[in-house]
Amino acid sequence: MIGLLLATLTQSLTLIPLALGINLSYTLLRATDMTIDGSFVLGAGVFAQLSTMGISPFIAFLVALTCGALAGTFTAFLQNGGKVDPLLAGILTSFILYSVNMAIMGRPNINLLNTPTLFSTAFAHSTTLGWFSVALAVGLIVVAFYTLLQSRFGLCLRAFGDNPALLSRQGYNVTYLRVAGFSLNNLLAAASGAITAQIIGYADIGMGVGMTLVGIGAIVLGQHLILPLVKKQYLRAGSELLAAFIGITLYFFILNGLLRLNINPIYLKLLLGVLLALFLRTATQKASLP
Amino acid sequence: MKRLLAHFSLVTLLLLSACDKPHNTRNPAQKPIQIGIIIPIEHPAMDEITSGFEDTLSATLKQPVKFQVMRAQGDINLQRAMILQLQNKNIDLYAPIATQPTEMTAAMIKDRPIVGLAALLPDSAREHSQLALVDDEITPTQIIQFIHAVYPLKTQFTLVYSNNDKILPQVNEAVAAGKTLGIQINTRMITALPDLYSIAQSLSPQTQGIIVLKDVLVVSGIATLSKTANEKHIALISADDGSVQNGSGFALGVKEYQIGVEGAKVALNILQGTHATDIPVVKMTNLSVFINPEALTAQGQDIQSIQEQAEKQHYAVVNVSDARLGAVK
Repeated sequence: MIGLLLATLTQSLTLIPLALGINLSYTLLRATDMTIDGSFVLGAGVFAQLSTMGISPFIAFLVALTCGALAGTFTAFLQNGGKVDPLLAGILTSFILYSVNMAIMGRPNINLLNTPTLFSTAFAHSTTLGWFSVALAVGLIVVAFYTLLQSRFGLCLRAFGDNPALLSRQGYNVTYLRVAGFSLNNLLAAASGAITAQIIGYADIGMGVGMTLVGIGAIVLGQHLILPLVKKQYLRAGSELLAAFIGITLYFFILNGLLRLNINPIYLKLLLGVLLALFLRTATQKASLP
Repeated sequence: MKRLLAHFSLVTLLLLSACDKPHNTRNPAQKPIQIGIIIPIEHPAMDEITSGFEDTLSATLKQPVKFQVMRAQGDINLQRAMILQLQNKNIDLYAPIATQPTEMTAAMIKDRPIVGLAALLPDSAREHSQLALVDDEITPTQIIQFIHAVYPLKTQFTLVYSNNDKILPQVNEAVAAGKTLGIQINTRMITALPDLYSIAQSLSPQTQGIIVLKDVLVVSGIATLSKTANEKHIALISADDGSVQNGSGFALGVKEYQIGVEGAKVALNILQGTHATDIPVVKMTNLSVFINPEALTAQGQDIQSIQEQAEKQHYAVVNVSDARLGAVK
């Protein structure tokens, strides 16, 4: 049992920033941002390339986050200047990022097994300390993100997602908000990619495939479970973060649990989908009750 | 809320019921050695390697051995969950197949030996881990030299490859090897399987043959290239037996089953007390020429010259038509 919980927590931990990023685009900005598949790899690739060049892991991590934010900025400009639909803009950027990531990495896979990373010293000391340092880093990202969401800027982002036209009429610069929102969302995805690469020991050009879908699935699941239970408006931002955490944890809890049932991996995603649908159906029924 | 809790409890109980199942503990003296095999994607070559590993280890180990085979279906999250699950089962030795699963296992498992099968990693990656490697790659220079020996008059080839870390340096080496032999090798890269059809349709009319290295993505679409080779009556040359079974004319490579056999020998060494990093990286040296007579006929190629050159260079010749009913062992 402890093994299952630990496996679930360690897997969820590295993807929490990604879940927060998807939460931002999907829930607040009301857009499905497919850039995330590419910016996840971008974060991992930039971090791996710079680390293997001998640059400080901390600086490499910051540069990775900046690159993620730039990818989001590009998506926002495609929507704004190019008048491209948000979904299509994300797909296009993700498409472009494939080549960009390859150019940055120089090869499809960068090994980090013997490269100093943000967590390598802690893991060398003990696994517990290693995971504690990962949790600390993710915790800092969560706190920073929560503080941002609770600020006036966070409120403006939420208003932008709800009704950009109204916000524009009130004199707010919606272009700036769009750029800021998508940059932040992809910065979080890049952070997740960089952390994941350090944990799994490599950055790979194909490691982002399907990450957006997993993230959206987990977010929707978490929100269906948590949001109906929270009635107070001032708890909304906190409950959304909790929903992201619960969703991604539940996803990996069920995935790891199914693996322990020795289910043929061919049917694993079928069963995973059915179980998640069962949760969603129940939660929806609960929410629709008077 | 009650219904939600009921469903949650049901699923949780179902999942937990599967956890912490006692292993075979009837007789502690007979407790089997547990080996975890991690297969990244479904592929006949992976199954061949697994068979070679399991057969050899079962036959040579004096103790009972239990294999836990994990198939990640190309999903990085699933692969990570599988390694964690093996970790919880107190696996004695890990055997990931291919480079990327070996990297992931080495990053996550520090206290157990790992034998990376068909994996290529720098020596530095073996530090701070218990990692032994079986490198299945033969040099592209050997392949190009063999092609040149078979077709001394052909000077224009197209090499189709995918965006894979192992393949890129090999492509450069193949092009350089071709240059020294007066062969021009044009390269075409695919990023996804659907690209293969477009590339097959846009081959240069001067191309006298298509070369495919040991490249999982391209090999999985070898039928597309085979069709083009048949239509244009040009040779399709690969570097593994599986692709020859699926339409390539011939290949110079190693038997996948043998990679598993070599891996099992390394595993046995480790289980007998040798530290994994003290074992040098195992290179596959016994090369074979795999031929598919039907495909060669369809491509208008002469089987005789291939067999003659194989014998001349002391390579074993394997006719895949004969081996098709069973594993190529």
